Amino acid sequence: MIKKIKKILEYCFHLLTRHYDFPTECRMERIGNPEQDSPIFLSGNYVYTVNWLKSVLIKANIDCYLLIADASGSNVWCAAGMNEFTEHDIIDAINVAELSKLVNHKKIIAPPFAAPGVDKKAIKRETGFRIIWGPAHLRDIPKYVKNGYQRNYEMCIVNNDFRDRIEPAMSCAVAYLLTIFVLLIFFPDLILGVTIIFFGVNFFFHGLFPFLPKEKSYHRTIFGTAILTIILSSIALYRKWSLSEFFIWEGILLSSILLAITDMCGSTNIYKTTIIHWLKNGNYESLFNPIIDPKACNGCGECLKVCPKGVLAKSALTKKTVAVNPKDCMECLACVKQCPTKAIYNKKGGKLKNDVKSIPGLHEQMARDAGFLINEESWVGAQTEIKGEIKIVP
Amino acid sequence: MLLYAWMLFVETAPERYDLGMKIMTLGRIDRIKKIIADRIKPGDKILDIGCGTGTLAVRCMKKGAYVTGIDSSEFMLEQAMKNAKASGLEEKLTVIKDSATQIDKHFENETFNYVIATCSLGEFPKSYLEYIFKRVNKLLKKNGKIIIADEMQPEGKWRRLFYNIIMGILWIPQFLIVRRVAYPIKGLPEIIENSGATITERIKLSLTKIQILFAEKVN
Ligand SMILES: C[S@@+](CC[C@H](N)C(=O)[O-])C[C@H]1O[C@@H](n2cnc3c(N)ncnc32)[C@H](O)[C@@H]1O
Ligand code: SF4
Ligand code: SF4
Repeated sequence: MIKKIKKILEYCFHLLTRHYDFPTECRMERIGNPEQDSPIFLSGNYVYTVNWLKSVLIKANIDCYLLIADASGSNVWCAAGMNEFTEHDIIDAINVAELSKLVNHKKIIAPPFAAPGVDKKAIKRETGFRIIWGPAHLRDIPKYVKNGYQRNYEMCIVNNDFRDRIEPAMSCAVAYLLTIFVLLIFFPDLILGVTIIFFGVNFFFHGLFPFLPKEKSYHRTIFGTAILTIILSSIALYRKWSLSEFFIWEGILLSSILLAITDMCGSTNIYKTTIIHWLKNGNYESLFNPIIDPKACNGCGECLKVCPKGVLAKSALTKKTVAVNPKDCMECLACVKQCPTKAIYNKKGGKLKNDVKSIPGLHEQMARDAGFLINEESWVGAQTEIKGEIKIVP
Repeated sequence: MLLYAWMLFVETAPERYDLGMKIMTLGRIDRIKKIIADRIKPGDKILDIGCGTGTLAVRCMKKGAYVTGIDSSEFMLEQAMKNAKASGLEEKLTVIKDSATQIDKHFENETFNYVIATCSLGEFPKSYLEYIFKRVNKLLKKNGKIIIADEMQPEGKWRRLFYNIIMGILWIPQFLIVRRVAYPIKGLPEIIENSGATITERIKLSLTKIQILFAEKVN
């Protein structure tokens, strides 16, 4: 009983603080009774993921090793996208754990969300170990194992289900609130209301995400603001607020909407562009719009295996990769990091978000003129089929 | 701890970085680097682990030493080369982009007179440090020396208690500002001694938890 309560409290704590880093010690763990030929799963050292992953592996009775590498205590996706979870961190972990003495194989199953930061070839060169991308979501690991360590397409993409959306949304609200509380010390009677508004607004935009209109010329923002303002007005009428009281709360509501809708760091799922882009264009399109040079592409498919959004597909005709769905791209740059031939161009040209990436020569690569690839745009919107773990254009 | 948190934050932009280091060490970083560089003699061969922007390397090269800097960040190494060029010392500097656990793959045994590391070991857990220092020991020449400057957890019960209380209070603002906590290195002297070196000297800097540790390889 106490154990269960402790578990729930722990979950709530980490749910609310996902925007902060909680490192756990980097180490090698044995799950069940692993033998020399047991699989190795890789994780970053964010304590919440590690505990969750362990419980999934234990529950599914998977005898294996769990290699925990340094991701600065944050989730692998953010860490890999910010030069904090790279091939070096994995090489360190393999070295220190002396993996090659423990097992008789050379495979490590890694989360594909690490792909924006991890150079597989460097790991192979330095340690002999091969990185194999596992399921995107750790919930799918038991299914993946049952499936003979094969992924299917669903296991490769982010589905953004309710839980995936709401967890970062709540912790985003906490991050804003903690900062705002510092100011609210002077207005203690606003604290409760502000808290409710911030959680409510974040819940509204992220929880109801699929039911709101698409953000195109600010449609979602305007629609959401209207609904929330109607709700606030009803409360005002019911509680018989004065006009000035109403305006104070409406002001708080609007600022909280602005924060939720721009989502400062792009840290939840709705927002993958810069604030300036949103202000100018009223949409969330990423600054990166992949287009692939068929002459440079060797058809290796590395990019296809790591795209979490189904942007890319293999053409059955040319055996090369093509971009069929660039509008869904969220600028994770996993494909660019993984591509061995620098075949991927940015159709939009120009600048990306200003994060520090671990991709050598990224800015030069992105500044290349993609004008000569104009014919490749004909793949956009092409009919696709699912074949194994990837999309193909038949 | 605060020092690390700040560094982690500024590390993503090497241009901001040197200024950031200065602020967080209360201006001490220059003094620390001077203390270290003063021990260096012409012709010394130095390995700088986590060399960062190479400010310490430049000071050592000015004393006539040859420095190899190893760092896992390309951005840092670019900056280090720029700094060396600005002083016309680029011929004395070699940079290697790799991680600290890989050091033994790049050099023969007994290559260096000195292995130095300033503020770059705090990110490693104990098992990593043990692994690294075992290899440091092999790379050192006879009577080779280790100099480490970093935030270290104080020894002694009362000091540690006092320190923990202060850090507990500072934890909240630190957490809010840089969104992460970092911890000082625990038990580094033992790790170094177990790797086959003896601690010969310690300098503690007041008001910060920074210590400079000097050790010498036991032959
Ligand atoms: C705080 S800086 C110290 C730089 C320099 N020694 C100084 O005192 O100005 C830490 C450095 O360690 C490097 N570093 C971090 N993890 C590393 C690793 N695993 N291997 C090698 N270097 C690493 C970082 O890139 C960064 O340049
Ligand atoms: S196409 Fe876009 S979403 Fe897909 S991997 Fe590349 S950058 Fe990421
Ligand atoms: S990774 Fe590069 S070379 Fe390989 S299929 Fe994708 S675009 Fe082509």
